[in-house]
Amino acid sequence: MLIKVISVSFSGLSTIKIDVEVNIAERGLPSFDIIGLPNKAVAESKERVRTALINSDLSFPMRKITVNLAPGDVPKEGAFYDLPIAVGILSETEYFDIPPMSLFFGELSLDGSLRHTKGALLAALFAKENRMKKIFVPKQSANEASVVKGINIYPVENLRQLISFFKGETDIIPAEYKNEEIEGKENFEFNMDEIMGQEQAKRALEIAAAGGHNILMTGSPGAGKTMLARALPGIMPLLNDEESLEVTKIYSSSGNIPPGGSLIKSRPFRSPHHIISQAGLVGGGCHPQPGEISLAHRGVLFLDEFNEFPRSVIEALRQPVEDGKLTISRSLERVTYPSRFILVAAANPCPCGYLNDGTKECICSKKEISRSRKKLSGPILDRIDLHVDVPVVDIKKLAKGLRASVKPESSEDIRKRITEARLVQKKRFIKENIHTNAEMKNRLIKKYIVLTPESKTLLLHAAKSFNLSARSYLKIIKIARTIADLEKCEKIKTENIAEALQYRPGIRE
Amino acid sequence: MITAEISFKYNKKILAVPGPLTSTVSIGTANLIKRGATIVTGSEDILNLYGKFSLEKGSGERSPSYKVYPSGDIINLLSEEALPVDEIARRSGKGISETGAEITKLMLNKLITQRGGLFYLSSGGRNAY
Repeated sequence: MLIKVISVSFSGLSTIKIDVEVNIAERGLPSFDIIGLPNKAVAESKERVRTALINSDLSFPMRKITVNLAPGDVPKEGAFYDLPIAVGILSETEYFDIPPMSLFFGELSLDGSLRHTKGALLAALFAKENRMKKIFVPKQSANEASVVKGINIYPVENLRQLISFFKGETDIIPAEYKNEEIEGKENFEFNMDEIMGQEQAKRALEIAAAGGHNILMTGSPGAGKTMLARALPGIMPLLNDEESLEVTKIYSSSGNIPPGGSLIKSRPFRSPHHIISQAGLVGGGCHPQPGEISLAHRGVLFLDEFNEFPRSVIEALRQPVEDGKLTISRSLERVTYPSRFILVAAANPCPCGYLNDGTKECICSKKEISRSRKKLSGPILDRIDLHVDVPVVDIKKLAKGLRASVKPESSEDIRKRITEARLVQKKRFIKENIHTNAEMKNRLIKKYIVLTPESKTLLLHAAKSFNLSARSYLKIIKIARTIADLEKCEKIKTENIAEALQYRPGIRE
Repeated sequence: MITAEISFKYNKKILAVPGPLTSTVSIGTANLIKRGATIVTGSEDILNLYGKFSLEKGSGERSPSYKVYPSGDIINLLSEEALPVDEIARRSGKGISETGAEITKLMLNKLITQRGGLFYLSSGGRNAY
């Protein structure tokens, strides 16, 4: 007797339909085989399914059972075939019909209960797109799957409950989406108003967050680079619906959504240590997994101690930063993960760290300084729009100088400005497939940025005086566009261009 | 400093550029000046040694139409001491955004320069002040 149960297979963020064909033969010695290029985890389904059934006080047929995961030439991965296989076997032994147009997805525990399984959102999206009516997932994955409207998501606790439901004895209520993340919940470490001084660095971060520009902070140890970076999430605007779904898909696919978790609303902030491998940063492995850059999609990737990252690892960042996505090719498959993030890099100005510190002496030789500068230069630095120095702040001097009434701006106020600037960009790019000024390439820059003659004159004079490259020229225009957006101005003033020039490396000695 | 010591021995003329007294790396040049080295506060000091006159200001390019007269506040501030950009913004009372824009224009007009994280009046700026 052959039963077909519908499930899925994932390749990166794309999903295909898998027919789980369960054949319980009339004749032959008792056996249980899974075919269709299963990997180890899938092959172990046999033991999980058999034990789960027995521990649920359900009979396991002593017959020749063959499970085929079709199509047969696609490698199968994951433990989520447990549920479809179990349902296939049980429909025969417990005499119930599997409802048509239903998808089954979930890992079994040995006691017969369902475990939270990664990828539930992707499975639900696939079911919806393919006009299925119902999807059965583990209870703890149901909230994640319920983000998808227009389809019934059935949260399954254990096998007995499911059989009871199919026999019409009990009911399983389809899950309703519960938004757990409280609007405006603060999940960042520092508020900008806790940081004294550093007006230019804070301003540069504001511009970075508003326009999606990459930023490099240079300064001596202890100046506050890390603190500033960790305050950045507090001024980033919340994800819009489209971005939210993109990020949640990546987190679902990589198993980063906790049981009961749902749509991700706040911008990701990833800060990998410089010991990280290339595969860990960029993604890869024999079965391609998203790297830190994809987990930072639509958010911030903070690389502290930028000088310490191996050149090869930084080199691997070049293409994703340029294209906003990463394609990993392996012998068996080719997977693309999105990776559109704001890169925040923090570096020391020289090997000892105290060049231009003012309070400590720099003990590096000229050769060492020039070598460390060269190491920093290269493909990634060219793609960083904003360069800012983070000086050591003399707190006593600062406290004396500041008037008592002047308090640094809070993250909430800065975030309001940035959110509005983002809305301006959303309107501007409504017909394009980008969201921020930083993503504009040549064609779009020409289309959306118009400079007044005064601005052009200023820019050309600056290009000559400071020896700016064509790439630099384009970056300055984009930064100026973001500055004007923050001021809610349609036109780009010469002041905006002049301010943008302050953030380019070419104007420093 | 070894070169300077040898120069003293051979009675050669020494010119020294002073740094801020708060900086440990400036102690060497301060001592040289104490011992009789000529203090250098501008390019004219060096050129005078060789009997040349300082270059005329304003020769060459016509001023671009955006030229802003030196913002009195910033030039005044920098005439007293070299400052980092955050400090300039605080003391002039302007926002960091406005300060950045003015500093760029001053740099383009060659009135101020930047070195080691601090902004200084250039010789042009000193003359303007």
